[in-house]
Amino acid sequence: VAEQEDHENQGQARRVKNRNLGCIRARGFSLQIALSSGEFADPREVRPSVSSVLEFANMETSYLWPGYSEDSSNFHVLLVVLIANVKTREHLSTWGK
Amino acid sequence: MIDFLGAYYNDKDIDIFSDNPAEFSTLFRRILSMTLDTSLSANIRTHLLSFIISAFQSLDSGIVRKECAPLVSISIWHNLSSEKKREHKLGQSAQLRKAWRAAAKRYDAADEPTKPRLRFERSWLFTLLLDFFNQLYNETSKPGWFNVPCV
Repeated sequence: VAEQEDHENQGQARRVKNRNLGCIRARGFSLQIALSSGEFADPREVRPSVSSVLEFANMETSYLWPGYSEDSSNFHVLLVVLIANVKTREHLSTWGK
Repeated sequence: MIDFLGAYYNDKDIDIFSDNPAEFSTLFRRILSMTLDTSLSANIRTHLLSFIISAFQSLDSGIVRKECAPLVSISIWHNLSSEKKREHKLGQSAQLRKAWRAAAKRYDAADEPTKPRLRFERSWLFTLLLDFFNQLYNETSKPGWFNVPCV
């Protein structure tokens, strides 16, 4: 029974991960479009709700930052910057201790 | 809500940048050079600049301090308007002169790959300022720089 539960948990974790990845791809893509078309008219416009801040922050912790390397694209760098800025603006810890 | 955020973040690993100081350093370098990239739109550069500003407001963090300090070290006096002016300034304090000499010595002792980095560090703020003035006097540009949000 324990094994079966374990298996189910793993499946669940995978599903969550896949969903998050899809979500990031979608968001990353729309952000990429927004960035390249210069859509951010005013920097203050980038003001997501608290829930999406948490989502963003989680996204950075889980994927963006671990996935960063010297070969990463400029868009990758910009995403890290934008999310860090949002976190700072919402008075969340940006840099760690 | 604050409690909720606190609880959320206590569970998470918040020290993401300090986990990997070497990568953080390259990231920070890239962001610095992107702030000088005039091919990027003013808005994007404003975001990049806000990032740097918030970094300078977080100097209590070791990794941030390590990246920010060289950008405002005495070496930036290389860009003072004239040698005479610099000599005058250095003459006002023996301590400053000592720091200036030490910086020069450090530059001379640096190996070839490090020298461009040191040169970049001493000219970053200067270049950014020049670009700022360019934007001020360039009437056709959008006033993106004035929208730097207060963080």
